[in-house]
Amino acid sequence: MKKYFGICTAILLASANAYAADEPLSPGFNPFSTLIAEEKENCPETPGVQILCAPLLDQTSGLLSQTVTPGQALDSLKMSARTSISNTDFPNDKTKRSAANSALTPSLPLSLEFKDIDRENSASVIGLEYNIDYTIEPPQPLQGLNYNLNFKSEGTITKTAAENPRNFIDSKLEFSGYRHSMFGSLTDDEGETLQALATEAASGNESARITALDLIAKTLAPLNGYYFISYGVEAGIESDQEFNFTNKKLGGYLFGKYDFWNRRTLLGRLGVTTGLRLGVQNIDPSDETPRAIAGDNSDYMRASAEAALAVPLGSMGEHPLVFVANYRAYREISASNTVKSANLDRYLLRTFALQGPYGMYVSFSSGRQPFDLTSEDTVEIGLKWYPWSP
Amino acid sequence: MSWNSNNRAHACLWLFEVWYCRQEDTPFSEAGSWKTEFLIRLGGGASGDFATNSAQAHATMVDQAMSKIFRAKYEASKTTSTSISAMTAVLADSSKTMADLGEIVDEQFRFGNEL
Repeated sequence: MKKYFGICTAILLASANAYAADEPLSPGFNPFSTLIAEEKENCPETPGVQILCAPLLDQTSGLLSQTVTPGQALDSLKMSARTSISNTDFPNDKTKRSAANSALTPSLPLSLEFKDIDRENSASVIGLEYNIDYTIEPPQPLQGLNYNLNFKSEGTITKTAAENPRNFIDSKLEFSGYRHSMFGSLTDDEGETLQALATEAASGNESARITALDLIAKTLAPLNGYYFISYGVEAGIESDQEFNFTNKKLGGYLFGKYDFWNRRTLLGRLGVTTGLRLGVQNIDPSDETPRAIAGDNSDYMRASAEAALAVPLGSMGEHPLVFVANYRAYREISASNTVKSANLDRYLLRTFALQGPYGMYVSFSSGRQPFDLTSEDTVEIGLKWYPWSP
Repeated sequence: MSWNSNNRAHACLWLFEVWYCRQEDTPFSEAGSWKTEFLIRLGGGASGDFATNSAQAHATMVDQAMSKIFRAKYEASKTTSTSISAMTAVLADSSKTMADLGEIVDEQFRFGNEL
């Protein structure tokens, strides 16, 4: 960088010396244009220098065509260099091509970027934004068991902690996984035959459709149903750079679903599907929630339970219809008296819906969600329609 | 590619879904516009988290149907994990249809008549 600042200065001084040292540079006189063009082409790949080199040489070229004194020209060059350095492109380029970045990036899922951060009622500051997102998971699920461990951390660092308007650290460690029933397997040849039958059936071949559906039913007959269980826990922390405001995050859930397939049983004949989800979550409320309006804006832990049941009802006209019942309950753990007396610590919501395949539905809801102040019964009759052409 | 009966990914998905939904008589052309909310069954009136979990459950089922029953192979660089997460994303989006899910199945799996 010093080399290019020197070249620019030398060009300007040489240009000035061609005349009188105290005289303004002559407009239009630019005997160094070829040299400037050559130097610009050779702007090196060294991190950061390339970003300074071209603007400095452009500035020099511009100055040679203006009426300025050598002193003004040097001041202008310094200003140009200062502007380029204060621009976030300069440190970003330097970071991106640094040896440290080359060494870290292949082994760590880390990204670093300088950002110009706007602040309310204050001058903007330059901050270094970092992001780490690392996941460990098995390459293939083992007998229907899958899991992954994810660590995510992001934040912004500024030179002075008090100047940082953003989170210094926002980190989360999450473990989740699932397991499910395992299907029986056909051979490659049988599978290939079934694929061909499916294509013929899709084109309207009735006997191919019957044969293919029969093969699927026989393959899955050993299963009385299909279960799916998933779970997840997460723990995290966020803080400003001065560690004056820290917020811990904690949560977890367990979900289970079961499809009854065995048509020798009543539930299987009906084709019932059931599901249950239990969760606990740390909530950081905004100022506009009913709870905050009632006078308690602190963060809190909330437990939730949700259960659902779906039963196919056959067809209405040519359209299949499914009855879905959903029941949700939320409860704040260790709620304050303010929250309890405002009746904002428990919520229940029941929804019964008739669901069609094209979005047509009729639903009845009773109760309230955590964002509602009062309970109410709602009947919705609607048609959701999304344009689609085969 | 739009919903096409000559596409094995689409045809196999249709066959499995009509079997699962007990709507075996539904023609291929009609099933393409079935909403994903209808396929995952428990989506109506559910919270976002519950719908996403239900979508993942259905995705594991479709993934097994394609790989074990229809014996489709994963495309290069695709795995069980990529297949399930891509299908979960579509199934959890209530504006999507079976045709959209068919596109994902086609992207993730290679069927017998494909090179």
